[in-house]
Amino acid sequence: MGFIEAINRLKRQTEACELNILVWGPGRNAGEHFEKRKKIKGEVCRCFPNADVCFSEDLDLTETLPGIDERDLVSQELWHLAVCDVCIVLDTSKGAGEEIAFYSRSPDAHKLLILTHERYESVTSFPSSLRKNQNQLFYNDQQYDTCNLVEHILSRIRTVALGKLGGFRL
Amino acid sequence: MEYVVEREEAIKRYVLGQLSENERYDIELRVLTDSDYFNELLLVEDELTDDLISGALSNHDQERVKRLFLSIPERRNKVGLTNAIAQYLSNSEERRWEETLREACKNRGLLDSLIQEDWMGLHILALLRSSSQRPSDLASKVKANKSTVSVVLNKLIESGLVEQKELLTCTERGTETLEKIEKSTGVRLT
Repeated sequence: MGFIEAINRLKRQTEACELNILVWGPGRNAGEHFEKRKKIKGEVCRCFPNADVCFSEDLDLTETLPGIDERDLVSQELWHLAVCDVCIVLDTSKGAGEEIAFYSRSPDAHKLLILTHERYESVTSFPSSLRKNQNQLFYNDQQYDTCNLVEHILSRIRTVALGKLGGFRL
Repeated sequence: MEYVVEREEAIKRYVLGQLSENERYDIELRVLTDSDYFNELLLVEDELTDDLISGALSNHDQERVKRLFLSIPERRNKVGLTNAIAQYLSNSEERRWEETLREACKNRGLLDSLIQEDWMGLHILALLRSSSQRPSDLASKVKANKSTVSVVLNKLIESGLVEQKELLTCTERGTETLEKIEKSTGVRLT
C-alpha cells in the first residue's frame, strides 16, 4: 500500500471513529447563539456519522445511573464530561462561562474545547486567567458568521479522533 | 523476653519525655551501648515525625513532640523536610489536572502537525522515516508547493518529530509516533 492510500485509510478511520461529543453553550432562548450551537452540532454529526453528539440538556442520566439526583446538574455534567471525548464550549453565554470556571480545574479539563472570541485573546482579566492553558480556539466575527469556525472545530475533532485511535490523551 | 512492641513503646515514651528518671537512665545506657537499639530509637523518631505531619497524634502528644523535636536542630530539620515532602505531594495531587492539560496540549500539537494541510505532515514524516531527504526534494515528493511544505515542516520540527541538520530526518519520537498510530489502526505507512 502506498503512502496516499494508507493516509486515505487513516482519514476514513478517523471519520468513522465512535466519538462522544458534547456541545455546551447558550440555551434555547439565546437566539442566534443557540442557532450557532445547533449548527455546530449538525455539522459535527454530518462529518462524523458514528459520533454521538449531544447537548447536555438533552441527556438523561436517570436510567443509566439510577439514584442520581436529576436536579443535581453539577454531578450530571461531571458524568457527561467524564465519558465524553471532547466537549465543545461555545463561550457566548453566562452559563457556559460558569461551566468553564467550574470544570477548568477538573481532571477532565483537557476535554474542553473552548471557543473564545479573539477580543479576549490578550486581555488580562479573571475570566481569561481561568482559561489560560486551556484548549482554546479563537475566532473573529467573520469566522463566527461564516462556516470558517465550524471548519476549525471539525479539524480539532479530527485530531481528537486520531488521538483516540492512536491512544494519545488529548 | 522482651517484645518488640513493648520495646518500641518504651522508646516512644522516652522520646516523648514520659519516663521516670530511672527508666530514662536505663534507655540512655542501652542507646549508648547497643547500636541496634540506637537504630530503633531513630526509627521511632521518624515515625513520630510522620505522625506529627499527618496529624495522627493526639493533641497532647502533638504538643509534646513539637516542643521536643523543634527544640533540637537535627530533629527540626527532619520535621521541616518531611513537612515539605508532604506539602509537595499534596500539591502535586491537586495540580494533576495541570499536568494532564500540558500532556494533552503537547499531544494535540503533535497530531495537529500530522493532519494539517490534508494530512501532509503524516506523509512527510512517513517519507522521512523511510529515508532522510534534502528540503529541496521534499516538495516534489509530496506534490505540493514549497511554501506549504515549509509551513508543515516547521510544525513537525516544533513538535520534535523531525529534525533538520544537513538533511531532514525523522526523530526517534517521530518513529515512535508513527509506530503507535500504525499499531493501533492497523494501517502501515510504507
